[in-house]
Amino acid sequence: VRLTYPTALVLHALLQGYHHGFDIMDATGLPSGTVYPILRRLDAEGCVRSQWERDGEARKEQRPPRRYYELTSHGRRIAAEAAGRYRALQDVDRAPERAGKTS
Amino acid sequence: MSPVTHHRLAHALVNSVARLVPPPQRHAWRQEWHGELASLDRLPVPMRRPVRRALGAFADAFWLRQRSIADFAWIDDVRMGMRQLVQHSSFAVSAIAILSLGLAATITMFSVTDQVLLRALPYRDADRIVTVWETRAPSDEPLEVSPGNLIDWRERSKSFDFLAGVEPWAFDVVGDPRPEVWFAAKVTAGFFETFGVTPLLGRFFTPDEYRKGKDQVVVIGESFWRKRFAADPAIVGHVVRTDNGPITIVGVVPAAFEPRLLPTGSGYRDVWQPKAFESYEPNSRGGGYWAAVGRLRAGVTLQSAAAEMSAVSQQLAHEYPRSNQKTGARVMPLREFLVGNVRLAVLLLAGAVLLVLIIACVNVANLLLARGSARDREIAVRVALGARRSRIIQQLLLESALIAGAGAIAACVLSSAALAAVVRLGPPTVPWLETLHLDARAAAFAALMTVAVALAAGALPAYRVARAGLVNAGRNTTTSDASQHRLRAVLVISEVALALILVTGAGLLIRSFVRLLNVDPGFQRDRVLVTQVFAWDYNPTPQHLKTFFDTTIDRLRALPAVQDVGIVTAMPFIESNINIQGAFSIVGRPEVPEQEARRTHFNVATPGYFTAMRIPLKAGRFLDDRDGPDSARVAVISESMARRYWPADDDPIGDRITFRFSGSQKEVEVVGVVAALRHETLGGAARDEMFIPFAQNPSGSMTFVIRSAGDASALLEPTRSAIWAINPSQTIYRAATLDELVQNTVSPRRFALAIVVGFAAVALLLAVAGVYGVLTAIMTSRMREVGLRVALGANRWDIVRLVVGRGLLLTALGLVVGLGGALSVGQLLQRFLFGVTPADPLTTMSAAGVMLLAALAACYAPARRAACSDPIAVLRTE
Repeated sequence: VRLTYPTALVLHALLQGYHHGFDIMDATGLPSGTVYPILRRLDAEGCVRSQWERDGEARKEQRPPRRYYELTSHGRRIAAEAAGRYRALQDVDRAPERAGKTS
Repeated sequence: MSPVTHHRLAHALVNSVARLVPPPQRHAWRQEWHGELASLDRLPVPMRRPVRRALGAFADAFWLRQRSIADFAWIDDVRMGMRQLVQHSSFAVSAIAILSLGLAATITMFSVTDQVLLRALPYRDADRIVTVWETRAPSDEPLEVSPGNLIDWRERSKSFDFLAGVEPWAFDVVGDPRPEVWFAAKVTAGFFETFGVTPLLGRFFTPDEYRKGKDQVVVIGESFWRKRFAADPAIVGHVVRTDNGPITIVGVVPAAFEPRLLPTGSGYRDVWQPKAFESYEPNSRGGGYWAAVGRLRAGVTLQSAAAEMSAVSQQLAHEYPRSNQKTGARVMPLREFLVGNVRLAVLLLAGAVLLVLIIACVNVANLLLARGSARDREIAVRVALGARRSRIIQQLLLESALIAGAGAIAACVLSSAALAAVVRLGPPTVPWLETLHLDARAAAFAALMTVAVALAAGALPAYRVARAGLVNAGRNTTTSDASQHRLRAVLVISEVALALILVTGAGLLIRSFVRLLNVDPGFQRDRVLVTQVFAWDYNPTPQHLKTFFDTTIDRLRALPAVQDVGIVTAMPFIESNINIQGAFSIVGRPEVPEQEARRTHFNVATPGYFTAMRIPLKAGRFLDDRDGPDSARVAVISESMARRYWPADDDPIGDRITFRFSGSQKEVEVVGVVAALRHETLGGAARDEMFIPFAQNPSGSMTFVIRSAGDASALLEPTRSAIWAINPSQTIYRAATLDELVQNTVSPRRFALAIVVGFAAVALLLAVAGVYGVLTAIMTSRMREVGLRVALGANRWDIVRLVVGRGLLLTALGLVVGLGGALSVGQLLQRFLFGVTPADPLTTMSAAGVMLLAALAACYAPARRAACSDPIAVLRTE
């Protein structure tokens, strides 16, 4: 896995429980044009897996379902490694809690 | 703009960007972005910023697109390569055929090398197993070991855990309805232990069984057990009745145990009996008939064992100067003994194969170049459209890899057929040849060679085309044509040069073989049946023997189609058990010191032997019916013996010779000189030999020689019946036609010759195909020039001369380049030549002549096409 700083940020956000593309974007402050390719790459490298949000969830809010990303065990290891490498990641923790922590 | 408009704009953006996403992912991608955008509703308006967020979809879509192209580019390349090959199927077929020939030859030789030369011996710590042989100074040629020396070696040497001997042996099994011969081997203690084998069934021999009287036990081989006893599980303890009394089978040894220490002339020996030494054997040091095999003690090197054995030999030379003065010992690793004499042949063939493969690669490179020039335009267009150079090279290499891959698959099929042919036709003297097959290692090797060949054949054209494509994009390609023709000419010249080496080598071997077959062995080998018997057992006295053979000969002579019948003790080209050499004196000549004693082979024969063999008489008379038991003792000598011991002006006829034979002193008068016979190989020297009449010296180990008016092998059954009519228990050892026996001795040579000639033919064909290809290409690109010439009044003959001259020039240049190699290839082949000097100018010139003729034939089609072209049509098309 190529661990650039933005990649580390995305991993950290996933670790912190942000699971959707735009949520990660808001949590990390990275533009969507950066976040998405990173998610695609992490997906291809087996660090994250993605699935569709359950239908009921979305219907309740009367919107189309969202794609849901989560770390694989491999991804969690990489994320931990990234956290060790980039101390500044702790800033992300302090970023204001946004909505969208779906379960 | 209202937030709603922002939202609509964002969704529209996503929809239009979606077109960039590869179709398989497009739907899901769009859904994901719409889903995210829709979820923004939860956020306060200033934080939504849908358009800004949607702009990221561009990057996302591009990323996915890029990636899918990277993923699938090579599949496109493969598809395109396949399409190219199918579209140009004649090119593809010829390239694949050429490569499959080259690769098949290479894979076959790899299998032979791997499975014969490098094969792991199926014994524990096989590299510690050595064979030990006697040598006779000044030569270090390994000779069989005499029992006396073997016994002393065993007692005095300390280098071995075990040192054992093995001796050829045979016994008659009294069978039903006919007696049967078991070819066996007698082994001393430690034999099986040396190899570290364990019995499949039963046991090996106990120390007690190596003593006289207790030795009536045998161990049989697994294949003999399966064939002869149908794998009877209760075989241990089985008793067979033999001419020497009952013998018990005590064990079965696994099939993998094939020590192959004894000559294979009589077939593989699969019965092992313990050796109990005869009382005279510890003192018998004159002639050897043992093979010795030992296991080196841990920590003992081959060198130190050899040093010890030579020290022991010196002691023995000191103690027994009469017999051992010049006797040494040679320690040779078992593998060396088994494959040492085929190694050179296999390595040479591997070299020949490499040449063929190189020529095949050059040829395919040549074809690819020709294809490349036809594709210059296509590549120029691709370059102009922005294709990267690496991408084009990759594409071209992939195409050559596809060709090589297809060639490799065809080659594996060809090669397994070739291996089957080797198994069937290969000489029986090469160990393990019969188990050859295409195995996983050969397949791995084939894969490796395929990659190498793809790179070798594809690299040059790929480089050239990629470069030319860049330089000449869109430009006139005349200059690249010229440089390409130069390049292809160089390739063809090198092909011709390499092929000349192979053709010369094949020529030398063919000439040697013809010389060998034309050697006069001193007898006529066609239409003769040879049948060996040992008649001692049932005919204990000379009188019995004489009666048995006289009546059998009479009976055989009465058979229809039989012209002459004779018997002899030492028959040429068949392993004869009675082959006696000894010293003799000529009465009236001064005695000579023992070391320089006159020596000759003694042979016993009936008068019929000379007529049946059609041996020419050189002086005096043959043995005949006058030479009965009570008449004067006479002998006939061979011409080479006469030449050696009687100077030119001295006639041996009438001289008297004395010698010891069958334990008594004999004196005979020389009554005739006959042509000298070759006994073991056609290439060897004719033998010094003295024939004495059977009537005066009856013997039991005789070979019938029966000349037929027609097919000799048809006499085999009548001969057996005739012998069994006299004595139904008489065992018949070996029977074969004389022609077969002689042919067997040249079969390894014939086999190697066939292979080399095959390789040379392939090389010649490929080289000529190269000449043809280049000429065709040159002529195609010079059609305009030819048309002009014809239009300006050149006649067709000039055009033909132009083309043929060009072709012959290329060939001649190749021949000059290859001359050095062709003249030195004889040095490598020296050991396989007979009657031909290694640097034989005649052979080299003939090979060059053959290649020139072939090249001339290759010029024909292009020359004809050029000469017959219509100048107007050619000029118009430009």
